[in-house]
Amino acid sequence: MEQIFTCTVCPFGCELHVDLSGDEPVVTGHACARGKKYGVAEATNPVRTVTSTVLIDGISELHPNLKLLPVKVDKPIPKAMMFDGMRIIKTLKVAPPVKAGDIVYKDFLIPGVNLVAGRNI
Amino acid sequence: MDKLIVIGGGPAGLAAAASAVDAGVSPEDILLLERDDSLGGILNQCIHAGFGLHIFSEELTGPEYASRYIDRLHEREIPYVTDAMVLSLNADRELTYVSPKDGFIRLKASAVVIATGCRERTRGQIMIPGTRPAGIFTAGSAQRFVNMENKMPGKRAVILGSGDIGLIMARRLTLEGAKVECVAELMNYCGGLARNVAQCLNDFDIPLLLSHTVTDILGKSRVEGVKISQVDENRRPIPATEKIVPCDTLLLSVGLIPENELAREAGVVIDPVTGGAVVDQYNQTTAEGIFACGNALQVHDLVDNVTLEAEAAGAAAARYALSGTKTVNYVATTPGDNVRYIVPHKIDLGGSGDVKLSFRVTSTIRGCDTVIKSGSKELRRIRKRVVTPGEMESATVKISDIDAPVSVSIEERA
Repeated sequence: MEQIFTCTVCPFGCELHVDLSGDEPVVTGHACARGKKYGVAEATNPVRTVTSTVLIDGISELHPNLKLLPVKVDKPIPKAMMFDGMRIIKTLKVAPPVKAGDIVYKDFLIPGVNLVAGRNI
Repeated sequence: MDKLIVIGGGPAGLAAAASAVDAGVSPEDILLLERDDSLGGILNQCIHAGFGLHIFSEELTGPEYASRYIDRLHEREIPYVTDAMVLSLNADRELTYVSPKDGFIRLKASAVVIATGCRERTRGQIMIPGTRPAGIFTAGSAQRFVNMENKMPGKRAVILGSGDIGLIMARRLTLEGAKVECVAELMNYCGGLARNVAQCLNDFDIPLLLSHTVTDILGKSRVEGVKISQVDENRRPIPATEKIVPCDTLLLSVGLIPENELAREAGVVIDPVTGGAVVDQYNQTTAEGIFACGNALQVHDLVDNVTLEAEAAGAAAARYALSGTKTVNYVATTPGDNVRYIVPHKIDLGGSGDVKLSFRVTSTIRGCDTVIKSGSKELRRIRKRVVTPGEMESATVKISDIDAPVSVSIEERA
C-alpha cells in the first residue's frame, strides 16, 4: 500500500510516496533526510499537537473579560485521537488563578501526556 | 527627556520596547500604549502551536509566545497603558491618546515606534455580490469569537481565501463540531503554508478548491448558502461552473492590510505595494524620529520575523531618542525581476555593518538565484531551491560594499 503526502518540512513541498508493503517503509520523492523521516512518521504514526480552550470557571483577576483559557497537549498525540481529546476538553472547567504551564488534565488520553495551560489567568 | 512611545502592545511593540531599554533608554522614559484590555495583540487568539520555531526552537502557541515578551516588559519595568487608544500623531511626534485610566493625554515623544499591526480585508473590499445576512465574518474575528469569547460563528461554514488564518479556522471549527464544506481560493495556488494545508485541511478531508471564488451570498436574515464558481486564467468566474453550497457561515481570509492611519496622519510616506511605511534600514519612516515595524510595516508570515524586525526598530528609536539626528546619505532599493517589494526602501550609507533586506517574490520559482546588485556591481548571488510569494525572503548585504542603488532580483537557473 502506498500513501502520498506533501512534505511540510520546507517550502519546497516534495510529494512523498511511502510504500508500507514491505518490512520497512520505503519513501520516494523526498529531496532530503528530514523529508524521508517526515514521510515515515506520517505513514506509520502521524502525531499532532492538539490545542484548544477550556472554560474559565469564575473571573480571572488578570483578564476579567476572558472567558476561555487556551490549552495544549505537552507532547504530540496520535492524529487519530484528536476528536477523543476534544470530547474530554469540552467537559473541563478551570478556576483561576492558573499559571501558564500548569497541568489542566493529567494523563490526557495517554499516560505521560498532559493538557497544560497556555496563559496566566 | 520626552518619552519614547511605542504604539501597540502586540509582538512588535513588546519587542521594540524591551529592545529600546536594552539599547540604553531608561524604562521610565518609555511608554507603551495598547488599545486592547491586555498585552499580546493578535497572538492571544492564535491558540494553535507553531510560533517561535526560529527564535526559541520550540513550537509555542500564540499566548505562550506573547507571554515570553510580556515577561520581558515586566522584567524591565517598562510602563504601559492598556485600553489606550492613540487618537492623533503628527510629524513633530506630538500625540494624543485616551484611556479610562488616564483620560485624555497629550504627549511629545522623543521617538515613536508604530507597531499597530494589520487589519483583515473585508467583504466590502473584495465586493462579493448578494444579500447582507448575518453569518459573514473575517476569519480573524471568528477566531477571536471562538478562542476568547466562547461563541461559535456557525455550524456549517464555507471559507473564502486560503490565507493561514482561514486554514487554521477550518481546523478549529471542525474540532469544535462545525462542518467546514470547503476552502475556496481565487488564485491557482494556496495562500497559506503547506504545513497548514496538510494539518488543517487534509487531516479533516476539507476540500481546497483552487481557482474558485464566491460569486453570490444567499439568505435573508442569516446566510443560507453561497454560490461558488470556478474562475478562468484572468480570475473571471466561469458561469457554467457555478454551484450552490448550503451553509450558515462564510469566513473571509482574503488578505491583511497594515494599519497606518496614524502614520498617514503624521505625513509618513506609505509604500503602495506593502501598505506600510517607506523606511530606511533603521526602520525610520520618512518622518524623522518615527519608526515602524511588524505587520504595520509589512505583513509577515512568521512572528519570529516580526520580533527581529521590532527589536531592530526599538534599538534604532532608542539611539534616536538618546542622540538625535545625523546627516544621511541614502541610496534606494529597487525590486528587480520577479521581486514584488523590498523593505527597507532606502539605505543610509553613513551606517556600518550589514543591512537585512526582506522581500517577496511575484510567483513560485524552482531552481533560482537571489541576485543583489549595487548599480551594475553584483554584491551577492544566493542559490535557492524554491521561492514562493507566500514565504518572505531575506538576505543581508554589507553597507561598505554599497556605492549605488541596490536591486534584488530572482534569476531562474538554466
